Amino acid sequence: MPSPGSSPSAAELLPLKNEVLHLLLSLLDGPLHGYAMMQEVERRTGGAVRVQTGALYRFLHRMEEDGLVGESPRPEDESDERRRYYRVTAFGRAAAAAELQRMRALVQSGVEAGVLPPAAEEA
Amino acid sequence: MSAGLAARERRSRRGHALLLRAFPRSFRERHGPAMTATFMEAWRVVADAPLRTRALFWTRTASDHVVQGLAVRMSGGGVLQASRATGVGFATDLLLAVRALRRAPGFVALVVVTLALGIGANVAVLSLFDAVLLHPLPVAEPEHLFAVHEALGPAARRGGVAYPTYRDLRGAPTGLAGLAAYFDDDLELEEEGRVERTEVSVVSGDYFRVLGLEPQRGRLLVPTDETGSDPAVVVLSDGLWRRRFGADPGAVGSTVHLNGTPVTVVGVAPRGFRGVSLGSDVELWIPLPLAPRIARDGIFAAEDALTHRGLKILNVVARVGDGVTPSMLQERLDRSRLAADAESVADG
Repeated sequence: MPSPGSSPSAAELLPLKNEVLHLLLSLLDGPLHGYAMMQEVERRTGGAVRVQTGALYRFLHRMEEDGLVGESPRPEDESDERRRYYRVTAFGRAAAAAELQRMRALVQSGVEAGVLPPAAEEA
Repeated sequence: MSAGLAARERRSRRGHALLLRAFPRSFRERHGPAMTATFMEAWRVVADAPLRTRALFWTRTASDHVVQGLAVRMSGGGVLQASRATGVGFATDLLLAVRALRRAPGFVALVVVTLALGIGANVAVLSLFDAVLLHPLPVAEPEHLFAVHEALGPAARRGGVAYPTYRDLRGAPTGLAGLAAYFDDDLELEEEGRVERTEVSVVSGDYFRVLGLEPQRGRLLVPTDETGSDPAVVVLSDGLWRRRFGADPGAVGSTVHLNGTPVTVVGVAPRGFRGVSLGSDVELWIPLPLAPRIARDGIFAAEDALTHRGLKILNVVARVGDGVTPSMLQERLDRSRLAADAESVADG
């Protein structure tokens, strides 16, 4: 765990919480506001991961503090000024990539142990 | 939007405002508006769903806000990282307990619902306690204010007051120091191309005088705004003035659009004043005659909203002199031959 006030490395943040990883992934195609992020996470996971409003903003608050996401200018066609848009930062992308790499290594361990078939075979 | 749906939306926004109290003030100031916008979008999806679905939505939202609010208040870090769960002792016990509970989803649901309702109810009661006792109505001498209701019959005595009846009452020799009327509603505020659904209080011209309030900037609404030929004026709340206008003194005198109609900003209400109703979050005040001109839906869209004696829609507040009790006020109202009922605002 990084100490407060320091800049953590992506590796220091691992393993990421499931919701945090999905929130980062939801922003890869561009900035979104809170409700759009909730919908995107639900769509990406087929409804398996649902983030409630309170949890969403608690995560975003901390993700912003740790530099994983940043606030993005509101689009010109956005009429509701209460909405706040978020974008993923380069550090956020690195953290998501590191987490996915960690998962890949885990899966590889499972394959080598014979618990999982190789990806090609499964397909 | 129908009047019923608009009223439910307003109540839902107020309910969510209470739930936001679970979070620390600094968190609310930073994320509150965006959370409300997000919540309202989710609410609209279930707004017309069966009661059971809506109840489940509220239960989930209440438990989410309470749990996350407590977590924000208590956490120093560790929000982003998954539990490493590699140790023994408490962490292992917790993991085993969670696994066991996953096999009894009905029990877990019952406990969660019970806790959510219990905690949610406590949050609501504490918020009510805060609003009623710790932060009483920010008006002059609130103990001299009374709510006045039009009698609807023995089964439902406390109705609103129709506008013609209110005007009769205001002109009658009741000996009151003042009588104000208001109705809280929603409309669209447009300023420099930005449109926002905003809570508005449609008020009589002497509303601010009866409440004993002074403007922070410009002027407040006055009787001629109600009786004159040009009621196209609006008073901003302190919060709206700061949020939308950056506390610019030049906002007074500028033109905004309410439901597409140009209206002149004449002043800013005193800081901390957000309307008279408990839990209200009014950001604009407009004169009563302006409402029918700009209404797109709801009660003021009716042609006779301000002329029909059967449309008992207004909340009425009376200001009395020293030593006047509710029974004395009742007697004065009865003497005016108008069927009305009175209760102390201070007593709730």
